[in-house]
Amino acid sequence: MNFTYRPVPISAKTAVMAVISGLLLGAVLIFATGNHPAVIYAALVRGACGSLFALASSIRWTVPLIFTGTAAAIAFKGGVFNMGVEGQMYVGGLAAAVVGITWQDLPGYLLVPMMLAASMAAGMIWALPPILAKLYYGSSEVVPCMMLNYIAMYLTDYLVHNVFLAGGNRGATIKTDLIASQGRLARLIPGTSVSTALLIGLAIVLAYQWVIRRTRFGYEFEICGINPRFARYGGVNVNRTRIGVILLSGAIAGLGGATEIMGVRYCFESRFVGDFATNGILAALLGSCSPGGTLIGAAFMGFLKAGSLTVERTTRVSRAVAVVIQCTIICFVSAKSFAGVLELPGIRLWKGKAKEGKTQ
Amino acid sequence: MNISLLIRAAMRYSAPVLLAAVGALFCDCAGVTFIILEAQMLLGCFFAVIAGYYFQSWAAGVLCAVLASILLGWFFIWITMKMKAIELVVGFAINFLVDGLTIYLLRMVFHQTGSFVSPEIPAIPRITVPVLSRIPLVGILFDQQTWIVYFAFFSVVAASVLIYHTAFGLHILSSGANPEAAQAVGIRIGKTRIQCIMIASVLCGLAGSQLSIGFLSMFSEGMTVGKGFIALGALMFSNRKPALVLFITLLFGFAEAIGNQVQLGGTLASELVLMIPYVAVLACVFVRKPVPEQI
Amino acid sequence: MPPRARIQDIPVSIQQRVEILKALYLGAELLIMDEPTAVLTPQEIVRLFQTLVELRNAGKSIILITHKLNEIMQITDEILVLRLGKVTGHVLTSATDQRRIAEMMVGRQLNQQKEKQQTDQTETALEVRDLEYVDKWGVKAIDHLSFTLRKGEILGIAGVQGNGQSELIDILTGMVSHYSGSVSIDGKPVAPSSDTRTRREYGLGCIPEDRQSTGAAVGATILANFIMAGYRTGDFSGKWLIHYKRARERTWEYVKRFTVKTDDIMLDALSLSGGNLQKLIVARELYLKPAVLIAAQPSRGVDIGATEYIHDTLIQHRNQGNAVLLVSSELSEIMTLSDRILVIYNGRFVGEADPGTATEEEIGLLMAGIERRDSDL
Repeated sequence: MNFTYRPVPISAKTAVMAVISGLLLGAVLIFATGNHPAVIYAALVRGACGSLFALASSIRWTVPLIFTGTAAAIAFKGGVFNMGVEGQMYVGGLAAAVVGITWQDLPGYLLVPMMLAASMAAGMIWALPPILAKLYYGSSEVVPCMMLNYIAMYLTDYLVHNVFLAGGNRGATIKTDLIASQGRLARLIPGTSVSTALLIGLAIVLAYQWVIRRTRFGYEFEICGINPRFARYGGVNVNRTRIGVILLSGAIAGLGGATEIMGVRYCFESRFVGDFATNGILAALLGSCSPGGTLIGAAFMGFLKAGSLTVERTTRVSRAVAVVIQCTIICFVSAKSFAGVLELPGIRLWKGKAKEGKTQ
Repeated sequence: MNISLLIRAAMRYSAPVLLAAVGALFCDCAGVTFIILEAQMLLGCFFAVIAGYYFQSWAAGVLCAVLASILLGWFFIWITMKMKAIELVVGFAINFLVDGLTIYLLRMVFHQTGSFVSPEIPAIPRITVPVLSRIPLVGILFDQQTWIVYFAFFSVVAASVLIYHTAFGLHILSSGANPEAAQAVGIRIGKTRIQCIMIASVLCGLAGSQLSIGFLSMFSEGMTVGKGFIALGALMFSNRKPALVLFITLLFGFAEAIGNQVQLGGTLASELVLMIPYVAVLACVFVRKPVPEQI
Repeated sequence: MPPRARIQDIPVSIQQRVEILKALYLGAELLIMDEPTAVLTPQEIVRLFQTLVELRNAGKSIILITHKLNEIMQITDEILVLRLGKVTGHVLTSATDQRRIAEMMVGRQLNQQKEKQQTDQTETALEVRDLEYVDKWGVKAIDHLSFTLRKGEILGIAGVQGNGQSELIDILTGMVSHYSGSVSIDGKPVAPSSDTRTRREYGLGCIPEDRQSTGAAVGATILANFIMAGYRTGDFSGKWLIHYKRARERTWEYVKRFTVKTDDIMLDALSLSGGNLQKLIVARELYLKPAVLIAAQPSRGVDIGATEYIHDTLIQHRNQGNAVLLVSSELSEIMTLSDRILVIYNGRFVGEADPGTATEEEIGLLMAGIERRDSDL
């Protein structure tokens, strides 16, 4: 099977068409279960940006996606299909939490960098096996990545359950003690879950932009993603570049785990990653892996999530409908012929006959 | 530890993975990057329970599971072949789409969260093959399993015959190995690939039914827990040899069965036990002979 | 023939027999064979020809595409000579001989040697000794090659395509590493394991024959394609950063100088026509003024104006005291540009010629694998 993915620029028209079809399918689903789509979508919009609190909630759900999205985008752009963001986020989160719990007495200016560094190191370690499998064992990185996701999930559960379980907590939820208060990130908007993690995330997006726009490494890994053979011919060490790319990706994913714990939860909770990793990957795909596009994609996914939570709270419709909408959009965003299909509905449905057997 | 129980459990755990892996084998040979096995199994699980519950018949459940899986297969075909979408991206998205869709439907139609358990969900009857099960030693293989489990093991044989000993198999292999050459001798690659995806869809539908109404008669959110990817892993390490696919999936079946027995014994933490199959797949990658990537 | 073996695992000669069997089994009346003997041993060729004669006697028609004149004379009934997509001769085999066919193959037009300055050709730029390379099918693609390329010289390697030129280029540039023999670039020896970067740093540049898959990254901008050669050592390169402002200026400068037709260097390289893309690649490879420039099929698929320009550029590069290794299957290109010509056939050099005195017919015969009788090599 062919697991190579090259980011392709997505035209605005395709993106709009994909979003429309996603929302249409969502509407059909909502309607089929006896609700009025307009009402639900209104609740969705209200929940995403209807009030200051709603906006804060949207930003809160966007922040982790900025990390996971950028992590995925960097890897994809470098020609590595890093589906292991989830696992990297788990181990990064646990590493940060353990540091934050262990050194309760350290001052914040030491503890915070240590926690961030620990999470990045853990994410990097978790990102290494897939790329080694790809480069030296002739395997694809996709299956090892998926396996490491599950392993990370169960392993962190195990470690928390058996080593770091919160005092006085038996069996209810698997979580650690709270991290030291000087190790927490400050709240940006008081009374909400928006912390300075947002600034770290934005800084990372800017740094990503800077790396691909200015640095030699950024140029190398972008070319490796587009045409590895050309890169090698031009004197780029493709293997080394790819290892660098996935390490960077793993570090950012780990950082995402750490900031979620340091900014929102203050402890490591079992399964805290939830859909952050997948939504981040979807955000990267939606934004064709460019820094700005990924940021917009992450914001879109975050707003959708916040909105869907409100939908679930205020109506009878489950928030899972948002997942369906997101995934449908991604399906159509990569479809090259799709923008042409609905160009003039009823007049020209098919742009020529699709050639059989050319889809490899 | 009861050996016959263990073997029976291992067969039961292997069967869904095996079905999915055989389906993936067809697609892989035909040159399709088909990673929506997980989604098809999950959709199969869901519809087997739903249809089984409504029609009060396990057969209807299995039928609906297969139909749902086929429908999803068609969507994949339409969007990748007609709309020229990227197989890998679509596959990835569909996996999560189905995850969300089943959760949504479960909550909206059944008003259940997490899982759906009811005594009224019919189970696929277990069959003890009359004569064969009496044979000493081998008999255990024909004891107390659903027909899907037997079919899963039969499907490996069928696949190996179909792929490696028939004209159809030749079409499949050549559309995967060298599409241009296949086209040059008049093979319709698109058609062959569609057929393979359909085969995989049916098998994944069956795998889903086995998972949900084959043993436990329940549906829970995300109940496939990466089994589709384990199947992909098994396929990758088998070098397209059906016998090896069988061997590797059985290995995972045993890993899971032993894990569960150990878990019941309480000597090992459940989290570590749950990890075993995934660690096994990962280990498979690194025990192979190193092959540097060619650019 | 082992019926259960995989095609990829059996020798090429048997692969080919499988192919012929398949065609016959499918009931072919007309059999088209493209260079069927390229990978066969002499004994196997004899057997293949016996089969072909039997087939002809059985009433089948066979089109044999080959560059080997002796085979043509040996087995065909009728000959059609193609050159640059045009039929240049149509004769009965019985009414012609190898020399006349070679004439038709290479043409008779006069190739004006380009005006070249006198250069100092004493220093060695590229030294290759006893190069041997076995490709992944087990065929010895490069067989004991040795040559010396001097500074201020254009060395033309003439040969029909598929006689080891691609492999030679891959070895020299570092794209393949499992070869034996020694290579030194600009006086510095390079080990087989040294990568493309090292070789470029030693002063090697290469205009590859496959511009779509190796020579450029379509999908990246013209700018990104241009800066590949110089992003580490060029004047827009820092230790960690690329000075994109200067890189853009350089790219515009070279795009203008090499008359690459484009409106914007931030456009995808895919937007360039074949000729313009090739000019961009030439511009890129010349940007660093490499001491050794390999130019493989530099004018393939390029219009006459661009070809002329690329040729002038190569000569100018030579006049500046650099070495150019010109690999081309287009004989007239070799004749116009080279100071010296080596003819490659089946991975070996079969002759050396002086473009001033040698005729195209002589070189054409060498290219076709016919040994020259006089021993002045």
